[in-house]
Amino acid sequence: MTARERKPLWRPTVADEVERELAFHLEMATRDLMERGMAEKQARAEAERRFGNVASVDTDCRRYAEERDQHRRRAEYRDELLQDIAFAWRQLVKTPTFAAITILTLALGIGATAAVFSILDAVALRPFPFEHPDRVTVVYPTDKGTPRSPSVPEFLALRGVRAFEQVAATVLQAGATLRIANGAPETVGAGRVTASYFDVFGVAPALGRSFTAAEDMPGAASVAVISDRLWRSHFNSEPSVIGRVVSLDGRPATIIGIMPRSFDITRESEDLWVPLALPPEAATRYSEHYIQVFARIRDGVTVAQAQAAATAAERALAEHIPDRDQPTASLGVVLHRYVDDFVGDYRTLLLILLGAVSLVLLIACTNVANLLLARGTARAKELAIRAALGAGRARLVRQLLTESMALALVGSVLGLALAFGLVKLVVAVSPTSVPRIEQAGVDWRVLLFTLGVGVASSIVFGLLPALRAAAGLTTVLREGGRGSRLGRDRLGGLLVTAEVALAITLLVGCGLLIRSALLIGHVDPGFDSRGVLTARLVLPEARYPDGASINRLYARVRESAARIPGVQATALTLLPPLSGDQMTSSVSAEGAPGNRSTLSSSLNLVSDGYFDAMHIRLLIGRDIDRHDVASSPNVVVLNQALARKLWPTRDLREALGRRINAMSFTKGEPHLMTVVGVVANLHNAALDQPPAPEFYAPVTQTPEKLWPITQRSMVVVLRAANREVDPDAFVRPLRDVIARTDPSLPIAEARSMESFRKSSLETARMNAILLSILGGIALVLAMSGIYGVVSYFVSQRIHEIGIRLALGATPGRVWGFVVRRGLVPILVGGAFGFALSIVATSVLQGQLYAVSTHDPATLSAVAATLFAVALMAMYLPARRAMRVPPIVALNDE
Amino acid sequence: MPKDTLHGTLDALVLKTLTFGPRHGYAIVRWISQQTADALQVEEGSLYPALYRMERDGWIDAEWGTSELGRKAKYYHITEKGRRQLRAETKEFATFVKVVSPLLLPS
Repeated sequence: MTARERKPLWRPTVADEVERELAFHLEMATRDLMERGMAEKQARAEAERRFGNVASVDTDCRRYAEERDQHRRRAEYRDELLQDIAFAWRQLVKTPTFAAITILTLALGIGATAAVFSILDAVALRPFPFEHPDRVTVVYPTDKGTPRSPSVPEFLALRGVRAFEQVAATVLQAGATLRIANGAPETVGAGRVTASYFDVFGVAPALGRSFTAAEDMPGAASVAVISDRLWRSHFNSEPSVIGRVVSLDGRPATIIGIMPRSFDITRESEDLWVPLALPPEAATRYSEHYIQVFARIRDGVTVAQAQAAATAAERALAEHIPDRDQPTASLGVVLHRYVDDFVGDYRTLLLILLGAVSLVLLIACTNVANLLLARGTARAKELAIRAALGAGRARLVRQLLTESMALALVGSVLGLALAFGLVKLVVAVSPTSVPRIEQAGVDWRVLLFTLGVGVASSIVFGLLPALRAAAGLTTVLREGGRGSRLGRDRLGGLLVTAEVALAITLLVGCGLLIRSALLIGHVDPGFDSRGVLTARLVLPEARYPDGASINRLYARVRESAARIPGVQATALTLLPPLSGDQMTSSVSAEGAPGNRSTLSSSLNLVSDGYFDAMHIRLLIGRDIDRHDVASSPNVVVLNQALARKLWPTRDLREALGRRINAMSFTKGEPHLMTVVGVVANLHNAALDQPPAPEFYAPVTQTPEKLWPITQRSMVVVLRAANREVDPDAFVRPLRDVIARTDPSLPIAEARSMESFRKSSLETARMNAILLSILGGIALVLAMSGIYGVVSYFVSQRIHEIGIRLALGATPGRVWGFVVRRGLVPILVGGAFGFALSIVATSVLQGQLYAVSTHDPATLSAVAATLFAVALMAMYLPARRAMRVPPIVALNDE
Repeated sequence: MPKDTLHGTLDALVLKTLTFGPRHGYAIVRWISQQTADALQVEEGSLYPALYRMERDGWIDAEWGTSELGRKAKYYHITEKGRRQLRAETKEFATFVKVVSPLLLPS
């Protein structure tokens, strides 16, 4: 028996029900007693005595009765819902084309949204797997507000700041040569860190232990903590690896711990960590700014308070520096939240992407709403009959919404499958520096989000058509089942307007980002990346203790590499452009008064022939040549930007022959170099950033103190005679050359210059690819939406069009009639869209390169594209209208 | 007797009564006392809450009908769920009696 059938014709309220029943009982009992000869009054009293406390029984009964009714209402609702679902299912199966189109449209929108959410969630929303991640900060000392890398004395001073719970110094992203058993030596990413490093993050090794303070001392036995990634790739996830001895930079080191998988923050983060083991003498190396400092703020201390305390420590330290030549007031410390430093930019980027997919989803919803509206009109008769048979209006709206929900849920399931694929695509095209992106997947959070989005969108697209259908009920039967046509036309037009507005907003955003990606792609980097291979070598200190031995090795490698067939030129450099690494030094012109002329510049060490090999233009003077050796006077080549900054005159010749002071390691003991040439600017940091000042010193004249900092590491540059040759072909011969020179040396990293250029474009490329896809989807959806509305319009007016044609209207006029009808909502939507895009694209400001948010080229391209698409969408229905045979006018519908 | 077994006994008695046909509350009381030759008097005050509770739980269902005296009365009948419940409680009661009787009854 179903709940509905059980519903009785007469049913008292709960209070009434209980009262009547108890009264009936008492009456019956009184009667029985009277029959046994009791007087009525006595009988009544006796019945009541036997019954007990009527009021309390009454209360209990009422409570149960109310609960009973509540259960029944729920059961009834459930039954109706099941009926609705069954009905919705039958409806969908009955109209498979409609169902397929709707579900696919929704799957596209929901799937894309779920995919972007999944990535945003993995990268930015999920808390970092640290203890109180918001208290982990990166510490930068500042001079006149400009942040720079800290020095060891600064680290030691910061360690005394009470606002910090833990402070760690690190040299991250250093290479180390790892050799397991008798395998081939290879270079892995290594971090040299103080023992406190893991405590700053509050992360303990998953297996084993981290460094003790004693192990973080010079001369202690070598130990290493390895990453989960290295453990998997090189040790087969063997727990027995703890205690194993491997060769690290030619010395034995014991593996003591394995970090948890969650500590592999990016795909390029460290493979292993070794103690930094600061030597005592480093405590006075005031001008060597090469470490990175992380600090955990104490509980209850704000970032501002910690920053103030650190600034005080920084200034107190500066007071004690011998030969201090700067007022300490200009010094300070800034703390960046580690999480912000790491994901800040990507979070913005992903939020923008999420905004873009949300627009796509909204467009998809609008489309589906339109389809439902058209179907609602077709089903008007059925609904009217159901209403006539006693279904309430609310009941019908509920039923229609159930159908929408069913569509959305099926769409969500399909969308999830799509999201799987899309996540893979996004991960594949994303830069390797995006933290945690490979952790993105479809988990329960994404599942919940998708279901939420599905249900929300079913209301967005389902409610309007459902209300509309219910509202039109009374008129339908009168109109012979044709439905209220005019209302639908207006609503359809409104939906197209909304759709076009959304599409324009999205397309303008996509267009701007794509255009700026294209512009970045065409930036002249200032060098020729094609046909150039770079290979970094890291020399162990044990075998190469001083500059002379280092230079000898590199000279020999270069000499043999030059003989590799197909190699036209060879050179050495400390830092190839766009490699992401930079070293800076303060620079001042000799004789310039005070500190005003001290500025910060990128520094690079290069061999002779470097500018030639990279095709960097020499503007004036001479190249570094082989006569610039350790024993000859120090020389330097500046880039144009630095020359201009040092001597702001027009003529670059002014610079030649002058001397600059840079790379000085001891205060009061300048390291002077004579400027012999000026080269053209090149984009050393990133293609979308303007070239920064840079100077090039001969590698042979490297200050001895710089070698340990750079790990005695240089990059060998090979240029192919033919620029079209894939330089990766040189990797093997170069390996052979190096093996012949010193078999214990690995190539740290061999990469073509072109790959550096490409990875500098990665973010822009990801933007361009993803936004092209989204823009394309939006266009297709907009086109099908417009097509739907216009062709519906034509099919509804076919009678009228037939009459017009019969009365002598030319096909041209009919075309005009239809297109005008379709164009009005498109033009209105377009106007709204451009207005909306002005507001919406303001969030893109920081993401654009060389393009303003009102870029006329982009705006007009978007307008033209949309207009063309709209015309294409209208073409078929309009053509159908022109060819309506006049006989149609005579046929009744 | 433990309280829930007593409680269960009233339920079982009512359900059992209803297996012989629909009855209103007063008729249930009367039927039980007749069957036990007045030895068992159902506490009237606890009968009605029990009826409403069982109705809530779907063991019994009720309809309003006209009584022998021409008054509207609520007639209860047992549902399938109620029959299952009765079987379970009968079994439990039998076990209880089996366990307790050697203790309480002279052998």
